[in-house]
Amino acid sequence: MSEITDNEKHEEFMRLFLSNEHEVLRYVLALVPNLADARDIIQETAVSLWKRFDDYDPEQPFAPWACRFALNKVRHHWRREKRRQHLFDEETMEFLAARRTELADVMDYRREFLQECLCKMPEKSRSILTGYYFHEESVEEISEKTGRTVEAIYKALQRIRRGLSQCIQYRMEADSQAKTVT
Amino acid sequence: MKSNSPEIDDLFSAACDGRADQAQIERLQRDLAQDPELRDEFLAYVDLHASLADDCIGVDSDDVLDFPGPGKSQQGRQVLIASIAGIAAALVFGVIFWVLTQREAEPNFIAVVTNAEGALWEGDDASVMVGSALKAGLVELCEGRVEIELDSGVHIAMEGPSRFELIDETRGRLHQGKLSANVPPEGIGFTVDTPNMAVVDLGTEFGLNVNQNASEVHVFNGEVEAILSSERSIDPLKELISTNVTRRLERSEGQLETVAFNPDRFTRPPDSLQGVTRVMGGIRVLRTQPETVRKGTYQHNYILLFREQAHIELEDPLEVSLTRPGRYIVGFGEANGNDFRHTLKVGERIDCYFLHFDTETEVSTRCRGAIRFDRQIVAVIAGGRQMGATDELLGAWCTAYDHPDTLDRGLDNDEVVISGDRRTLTLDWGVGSSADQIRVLVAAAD
Repeated sequence: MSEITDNEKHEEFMRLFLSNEHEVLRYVLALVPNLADARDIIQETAVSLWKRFDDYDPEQPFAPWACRFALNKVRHHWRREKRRQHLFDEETMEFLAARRTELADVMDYRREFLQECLCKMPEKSRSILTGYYFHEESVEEISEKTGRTVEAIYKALQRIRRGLSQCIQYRMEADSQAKTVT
Repeated sequence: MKSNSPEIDDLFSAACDGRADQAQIERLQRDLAQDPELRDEFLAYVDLHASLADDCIGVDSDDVLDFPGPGKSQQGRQVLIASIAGIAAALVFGVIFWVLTQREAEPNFIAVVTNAEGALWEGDDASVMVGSALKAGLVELCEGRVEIELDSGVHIAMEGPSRFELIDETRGRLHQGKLSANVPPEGIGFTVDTPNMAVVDLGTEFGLNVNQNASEVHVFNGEVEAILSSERSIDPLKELISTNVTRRLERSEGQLETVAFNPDRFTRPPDSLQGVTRVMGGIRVLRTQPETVRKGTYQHNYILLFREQAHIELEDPLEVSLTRPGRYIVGFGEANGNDFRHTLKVGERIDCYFLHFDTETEVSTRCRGAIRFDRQIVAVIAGGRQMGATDELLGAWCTAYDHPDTLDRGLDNDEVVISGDRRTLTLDWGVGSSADQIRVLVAAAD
């Protein structure tokens, strides 16, 4: 059996991490909904995971293993930031994490409808979403670019998310009605 | 959904954007701990937030999000003018009376596709979609589910694989597959033939399942009469079937037997659209939002109605065309349009419905109809400019609209009547060179 080189190990780690990063981000956001914080936590999680990668059992799924590290990082973050920032208390985070695990299938099902709902979003909304979520621009930067007030951008983000939630809900209901017979 | 409450929506949003203050976080924590339903909605909301943060937007937004290009040149300013007449008469229009008016042109169409879920038509016919009209003939569905409304008011749901033949607005033939029908009083007598029996509706909801061996009928509600066509004698065997009874006729057998109801063998009858109590005349209610309402898509003479955004709380004043009961002839011309410029205040909570009428035929077509809502009509938006300006706020997320700069989307010498009790909207529209479209804003449900 050939010796696994560090390089190969690193590649294998990156492959696993990148293919599970979404799942970890979803998990962290349920506990720390603020996107900027969640991204920092993911970074820190990745560092820890790499350090402990030798402990990882390739027979087991990667995401749950990574989420345990992420939960730790969330707790660190909470202790570090709780004076400066407004965060959920630990009890709330625990029950959200537990419930989220129970709802995993429902969440997967919901996600199937998101693409349809995004399909013909008005252009103004699209550029705000792309800036905020994809290019990771702050609301202030978007406000400067678009000439709209910071408050208007927050409101627009809120309205877009509400619209998408309703769209997903609407499509899910239609879909489940189609599948069930009264 | 509880998160439809603006207060809760504010909390969810503030948490996601990292700008919730201590009081908001505490309030949210308390609510989440006490209310399991809200907790699940919060998790779903945050999951959407997470989805936006990774794959969905990131992949390639230009491929995923398809938009109309820049608008066509604006051919002259088309501004609404009003000739308001007979308002007093309309003010007492509290109780709706509507004589079902026969549409005057194109008698060929007898039905409209009102809903489609994962529908794949025989021959991969992509031209049939929600909002399309059907003539007499074979409707072949390979998979998925569709709903059809016949001109007789009968609503049919079909589940693929199915072959159904529309004979006329009162009769069809199910060769194979699953179908259910919801028959209003005016549609009584609607008949579906199967290879070995005919089912005559007596005011009901019923389901049919036809396969190679047998026909089964289940009555969800009301009563049907089954006529066994294997007995082609002078006195065919007839039988009444009542609510919650399932009867089966084998092809080889000459009599019906009762079998246990198995929901999987029947498709559920269609429901009505939320917020709409009754629809009359040439208006057809779509149960899902159509893919597109761009001009030139549909070539028939029905007015299509569907629900757009719901539970909108206005954050900015909204310019609308009509806000008061009355009879209005809305046309375009050179006037300044002040008669059609009213403003809804910030904080008003509304649901939005869209009406669309378009036909490609050269002959001008008329369509009349009335809609009874279960809540009060707050306003009607009937001008092309106002339509374009409200697509983003009120439009359905997955419906393609004409470009906002397309000014000829509104009404063109068409009549709109808002009843005195603000619950009924009556339309008498003719379509010429442009599509007729309006938005109807009703008070949001609590």
